[in-house]
Amino acid sequence: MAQRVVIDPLTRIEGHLRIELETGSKKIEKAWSETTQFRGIETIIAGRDPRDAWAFAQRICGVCTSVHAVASIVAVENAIGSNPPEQARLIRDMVMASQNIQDHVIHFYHLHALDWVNVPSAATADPQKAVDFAKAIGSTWKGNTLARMTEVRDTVKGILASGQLSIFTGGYWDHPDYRLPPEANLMAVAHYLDALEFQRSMIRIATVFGGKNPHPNFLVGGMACTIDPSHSESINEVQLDQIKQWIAESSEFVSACYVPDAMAIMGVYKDYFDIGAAQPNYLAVGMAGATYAGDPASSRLTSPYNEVKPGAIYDGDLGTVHPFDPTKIAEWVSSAWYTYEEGDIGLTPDKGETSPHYTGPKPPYEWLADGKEYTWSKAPRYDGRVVQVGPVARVILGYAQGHPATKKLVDDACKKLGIRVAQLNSTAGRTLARALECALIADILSQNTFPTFVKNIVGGDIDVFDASRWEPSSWPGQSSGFSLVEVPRGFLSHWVTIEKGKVARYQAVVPTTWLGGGRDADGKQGPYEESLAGNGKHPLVDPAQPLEPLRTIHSFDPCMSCAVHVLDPDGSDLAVVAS
Amino acid sequence: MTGSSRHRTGDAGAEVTPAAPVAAASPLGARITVLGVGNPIMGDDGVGLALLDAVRQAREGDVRGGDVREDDVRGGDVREDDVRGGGRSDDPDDPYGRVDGRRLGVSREEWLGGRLQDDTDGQVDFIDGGTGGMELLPVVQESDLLLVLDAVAGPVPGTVVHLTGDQVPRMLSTKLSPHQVGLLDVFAAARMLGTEPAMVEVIGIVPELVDLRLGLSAAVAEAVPEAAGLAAGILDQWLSTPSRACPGA
Repeated sequence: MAQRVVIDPLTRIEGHLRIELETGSKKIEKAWSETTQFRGIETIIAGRDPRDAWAFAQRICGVCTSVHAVASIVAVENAIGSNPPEQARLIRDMVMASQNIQDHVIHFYHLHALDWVNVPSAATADPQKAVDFAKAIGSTWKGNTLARMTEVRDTVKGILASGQLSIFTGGYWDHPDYRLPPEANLMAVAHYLDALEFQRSMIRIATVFGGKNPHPNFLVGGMACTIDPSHSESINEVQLDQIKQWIAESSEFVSACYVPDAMAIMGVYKDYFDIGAAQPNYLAVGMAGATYAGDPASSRLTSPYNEVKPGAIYDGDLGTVHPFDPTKIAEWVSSAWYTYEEGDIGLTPDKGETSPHYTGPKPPYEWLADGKEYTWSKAPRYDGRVVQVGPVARVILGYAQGHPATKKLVDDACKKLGIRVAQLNSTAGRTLARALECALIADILSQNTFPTFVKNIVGGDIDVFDASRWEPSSWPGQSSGFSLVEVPRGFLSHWVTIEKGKVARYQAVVPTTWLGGGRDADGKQGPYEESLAGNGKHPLVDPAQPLEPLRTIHSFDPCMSCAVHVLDPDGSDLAVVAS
Repeated sequence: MTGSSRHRTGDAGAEVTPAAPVAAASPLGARITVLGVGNPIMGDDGVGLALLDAVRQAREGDVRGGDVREDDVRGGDVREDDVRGGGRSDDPDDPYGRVDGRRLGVSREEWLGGRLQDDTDGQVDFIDGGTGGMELLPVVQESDLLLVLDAVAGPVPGTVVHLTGDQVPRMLSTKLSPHQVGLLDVFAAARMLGTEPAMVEVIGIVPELVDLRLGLSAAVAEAVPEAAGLAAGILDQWLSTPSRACPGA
């Protein structure tokens, strides 16, 4: 009989993502992706002033605050006809770019790398060999010095000697499938620490423009930060110089450190380019950071990220890009604890309903997947298809459209690794695509968005706010709008209907719902589920140490434990439950 | 939390030892940060942010939080207390010395130079940390004295908790490479990087309902004044201690 395995929490704090697996003979046979907490932000926003909606929406997630704020504001602007000035849009682009970069770097080094990198092994490394290894993989990072590698090795030694692995505690360090040599592990740990330092540069960009961080300030109609070259309290030359430097630091880290590391580590685990495929359908509205107010065909928003057009790829056919049509988005509640007034039909988000109806077992429970409904996540589908969103979808869409920079990055990486483009649809492929995309974002930010912003200031353009639609009296009696935004984890859309100056209906369709949702009315699995159980070949050597499925799920960069963090002063073990 | 007694305080064993002075103190003295954490749309998880507001308001005559406040820019009629509220993870009080700030060519002064949220006299920063993860690392690293306001797990809702010294667990045990990073992880990271506060204290309240909704439960709301008073007392003490000029920097 199949053995049942539960991984819960998958995320550290509260574990709103839970995976249930059935395995046999070291392979995964069945998988269920379960969101175990209701997150109906929509019910909180309804009835409020739409100009305030963003302040609530950004609390959906502790990691993605800015992107939800921007998505909310753009949806409202679309509904009321507000048109933020170019400079305000560029500021939003820069805030989102810095967040995309920071998010990808943090994901790779701090949330995903330890699935591949064995920390204790680093203590046994020869520091000089670590320097040599870094050089061999093409890392030009300035931290690759003998002194630095020696320092980090000694730090790891000290941590091991103290018996407290701190944030490395509890990894499956004895798992047989850690493959990097000690010097590679040491290099990776050193870069892990460097990434912690250098994420600060990226964060600060958002802090300058948003006034604070986390939760920067945004504004319907533009931005709340004033630009005035002659005042110290506004965005001025001093700050612009700082921002330029931080952008340069971010770009350097991504190109000299992150991309070579991702290439090298995935190269060692090359079989993971054949593990963890999900449905070869991809959906994106552009490159990371692309933003549209309403239908892309009529949206006034433009940015370099729109160079890749919105579209979908079906069945891995890169020869055909299907034009994006927002009316093809629908959400099903077949496997979710919700009811729709008219039953389990796919509802478009503008008609979406959020009516919870829990039918699962009373907690604490051991197994959820026996019931037809097993998750709080709806199942979004595009044109009736399960689609992947996120870096891999964006990169593949750009590649299919022949976007030059994307094409070059992908072709070079594939050649170096000896893989086909189609193999980006895999555990390693998603992780690689994220790194490649990060290089693209950093490049556009430093070469295009920021210089354009500065050039406009020099030309006297310091307008960041469209006041014409601020007053509710200027709004239509009833209006609807939506935003389409490419955020770190994928395609995000917010949908709002405003009546008599208040939010009448609000829906957010988030990337992790696209990816982590459950089965639909046809029984088709969501991408997480498919990636684990799609072909019955996903490895799971030791159910007590489910390292392999963690690698695959983490490759999607799940964003689940958003929202709740209660300190447990005992530091009690929030561990895998394996049964 | 481990105990159920009301208003736990640090024991003698947790006494903070002065850190070895390594570099000259900043001209402004110790950097004091009050960091509220939590999610106001998750009921009592928002208590840390409610405390942040309460403490800031109590001190309004003295200092102006450098953090741009939401009511500065918001035009609607949603009250500020609708969107702020509570607490989240916690953080340790920590008696150890800083190493100098040199790493990879970035000096501590350079880090501090980028700090943007100083209040007008540089004495206290009030920061809404939300449910941020590693993006809170700079906040932690750049604080000499750090007061965290948070929801703290425990058996009796409404219990005011004061954690200090070794009561504040630095190391959170887990079996997984996480997605979401808790504040404890941020502290562990700061320690590994060798730049962390000389002193950390936590004032928290045990939540009753952590669920999707706005506002605090009655039990928790009633405990806010007491907890805010404790927090303000800690701040007063820090601000009046002569040694604050150079606790660890």
